[in-house]
Amino acid sequence: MSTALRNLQLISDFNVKPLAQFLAATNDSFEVDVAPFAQVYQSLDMPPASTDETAVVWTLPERIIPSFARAMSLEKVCHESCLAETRDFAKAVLTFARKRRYVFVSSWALPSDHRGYGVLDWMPQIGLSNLIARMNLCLADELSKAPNVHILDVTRWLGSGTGITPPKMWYAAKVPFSNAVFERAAKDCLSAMRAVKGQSRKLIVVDLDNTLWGGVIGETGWQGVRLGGHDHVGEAFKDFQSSLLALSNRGIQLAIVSKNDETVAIEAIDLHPEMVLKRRHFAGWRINWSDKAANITSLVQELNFGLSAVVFIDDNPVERDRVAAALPDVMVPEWPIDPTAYVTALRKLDCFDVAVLTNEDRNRTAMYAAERDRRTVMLVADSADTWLSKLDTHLRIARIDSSNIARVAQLFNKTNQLNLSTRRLPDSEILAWSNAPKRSMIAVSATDKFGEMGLVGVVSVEVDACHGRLVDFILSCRVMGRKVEDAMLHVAAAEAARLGGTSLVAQYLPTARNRPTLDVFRDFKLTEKDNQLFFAGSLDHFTVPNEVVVDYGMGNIRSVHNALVRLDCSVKTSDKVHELDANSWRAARCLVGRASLLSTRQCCHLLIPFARWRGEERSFAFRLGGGIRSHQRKCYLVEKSPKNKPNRAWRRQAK
Amino acid sequence: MHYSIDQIIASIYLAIDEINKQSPAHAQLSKESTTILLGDGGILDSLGLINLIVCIEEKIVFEIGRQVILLDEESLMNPEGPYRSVGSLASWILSRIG
Repeated sequence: MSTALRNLQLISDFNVKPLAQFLAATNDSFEVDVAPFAQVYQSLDMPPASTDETAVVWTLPERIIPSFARAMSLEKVCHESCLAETRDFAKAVLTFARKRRYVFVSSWALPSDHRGYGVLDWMPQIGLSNLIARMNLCLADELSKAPNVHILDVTRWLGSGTGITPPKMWYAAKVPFSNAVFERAAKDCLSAMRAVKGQSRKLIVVDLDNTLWGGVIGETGWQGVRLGGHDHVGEAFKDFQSSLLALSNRGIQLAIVSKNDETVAIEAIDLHPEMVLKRRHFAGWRINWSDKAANITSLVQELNFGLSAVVFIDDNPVERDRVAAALPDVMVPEWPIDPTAYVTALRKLDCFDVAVLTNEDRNRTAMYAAERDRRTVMLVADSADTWLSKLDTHLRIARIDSSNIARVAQLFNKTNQLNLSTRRLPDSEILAWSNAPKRSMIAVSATDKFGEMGLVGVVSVEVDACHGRLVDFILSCRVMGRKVEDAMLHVAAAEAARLGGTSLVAQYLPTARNRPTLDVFRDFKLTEKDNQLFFAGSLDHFTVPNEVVVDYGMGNIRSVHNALVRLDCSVKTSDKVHELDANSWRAARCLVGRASLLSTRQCCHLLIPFARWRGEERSFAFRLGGGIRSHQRKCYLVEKSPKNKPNRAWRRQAK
Repeated sequence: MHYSIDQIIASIYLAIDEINKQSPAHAQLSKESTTILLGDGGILDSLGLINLIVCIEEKIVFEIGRQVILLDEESLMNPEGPYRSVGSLASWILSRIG
C-alpha cells in the first residue's frame, strides 16, 4: 500500500542511514533525507523543506540527555535534572512539529546488556530503569500537547537477542543497532505513517471452520466443534476469538465469509457456550457456498469499505490464494497450520494502527448492527419516504472544538465519496480555519431510533462581503440518502446568513472517488453553472426536510433541562423576555457560546416548551438580534448583570 | 580444520541477502564471485561495505564456527585490495582462516 508520504526527514544522534535504506527499499516513493549526524537540536531548529514534510526523531537517551549520560556512568545524578532536560527536548520537538505534517519520536530504552544498578535498578532516585521509565512518561506527557506528534515504542524495535548492538558497527560507523532492529523500525514507521494517513486496515473478514473454531460444523454440529473447554486446541481457538474481540473493541470491524450453511453457522454462534464472538460483534457476514472473493466484494460494498481496508483470514491456503489473486488490494496473510499460533500471527499484523481513536470508532460495530435493523425496516416499508420518517432521525450540530476535533479531522482525512473539496488537513489547521473571522465550521452528529451514529458530517462556509461560499461538505457514507444532506445544506445556509451572506456558491472539486457528491449537489435546489459550480441567489429556500429534526447546539429539551438542573438553576417565565436569575449565570455562560446558532423559532421549540415542562419559575434571558429573515433572527442567551443590563458578551454578539 | 572456498562464498551470499533487504531493487548486489564491492563498478557506499563486512563476520561465526576479524581500515581505502570483489574477498578470508 502506498503511503503517499513523500518527504521524510530522519533526525538522530547516531548514524541512522540504515533506517533510511530500509524505508527507501520498502517504498521507493519516499524522498528520505537524513539530517546531519548528531546535530539533533540544530536540525530541530531548521525550517522544513516542504509544508508536507514528515520527520522521524530517533535519539539515544545517553546522547540527547546529558544528565542521563552521567547517570549511565553510575554517577549520582539528580533525577529531576534528567526530567528537566527531557522537557527541554520535548519543547524543541514541539516547536519543530509546528511546521511539519507529522513527527514521530522514538521512546528511549536502556541497552539490553546494561545492568545498571542490578537489583536496585527499579529503585526510585537510584535505578536507571526507574529513571528511564519516568523520562519516557515525561516525554509522552509533553508531546501529547501536539496532535501531530506521535511516540513510537523503541522496545518493539529492539526485540530480544537480535537487537544487541554489534560494537564493531558502532566504533566503525556510529551505527548502534543491528540490521534487524532497523528493519523492525522501518516497518513500525511505515505502519505509523499509514495510521496517520488513515490507510490502516479496518475490517477483518474471517472464515469459520478451523479458523474461529476447530472442525467442520456441517459434519459435527456446533456441539462437536473444538472451542474452549479442557482441550489445548479448543483453548487456542477461544483465545484467538478473544484477540479478535480486542481489536473490535478498538474499532476494527469483524465480518464472516464462510462456505457453510448459514442457519447452522449462526446457530453455532448463538448457542455455543464458549463462543467469545457473538452475532452482535460482526458488522456483517456472507455464509453460503459462493466464491469467497465475490462474497468479500459484496460484503465490503454493503459495509461501505474499500477493498484496501480488508484483511482476510482463512486456514485454507486454496481459499487464501483465490482471494489474493482475485482481490489484490485485500491483505491475505499467510496463516499458520497450528491453531496455537493463531494469536501470535494476528498480533504480528501491523496494519491496524490508528492515530486517533474516537467514540465513533469504538461504537462502530453497534452502529453496523443498527444499520442491519434499519435495512430490515426499509424492506418492510411501503416507500423510501415512509422508511425515512420511521427512522426518526435527529441531527445535533456543534461548533468545532477540542471535544470533537479528533473525529472531525478523521472525516476530513478519510472521507472520499461525499466530500465537496477533499481538503486533507491536520487538526491544528482545521481549528485555525474554523476560528478565523467570517468563517464557520459545523460538526453534525446523527441519531435515530436504532441508535447513535456519532459525528457523521462537517459543513463549513466563509463569507466575503455578502457572498457565501460552501467550502467543505463532508458526510459519512453511512447516512447518505437519509435527507441528512438536505439538512446539512440548511445548516450551511443558516451559517452563511449569520455571517452576513445573502447568496451561496459551492465548487465541486472532482477526485477519483467523490462522484456521489456531484450527484447529491445536482439534486439540491441549486443552479449549476460551468465547471460544476453550484449557485443559490437566495438562502431562503433551504429548509430542514420533514424526515429530519435538527437540534441546534443546545441539544434536546431534556439535555438542556439536565444541564440546568446540574447547575441548580431556577428559571422564571414571562410573556416576552425570559431572564436568567443571578444564581444561574453559570448555566447561561455554558449555553451562550452556542446560542448564536438559535433562531427565534428554534428558541420557541427548545426553551419555551422546556419552561412549561418544568412547570416552575425560571429565568432565561434572551434578546433578539438581526437576521435576514424574521424567523432567522438570532436569540442570545445572556446572564443577568447586577443592573439588569446585558453583559459585554451579549453586547458583542448583539452587534 | 579445512575450509573450502565454497563454504566461504556461501556465507558471503547469506550476508548479501541480508544487505539486499535494505537496498532498493535497482541497487541489489548479485550473488556472483565477480560482483564488485569496492572501486569502479561498485554500488555500495562506505557504510554499505562496512555493514557487509561485519555481516560476513557474523555469518562465518554462525555457519562455519570460526571467529574472524575482517574489517580493516586500510583495505577499505584500497580499491584493488581484498574488498574489490566477492571472489577476492572469499580468497582473502580463506587465507586468513585456512
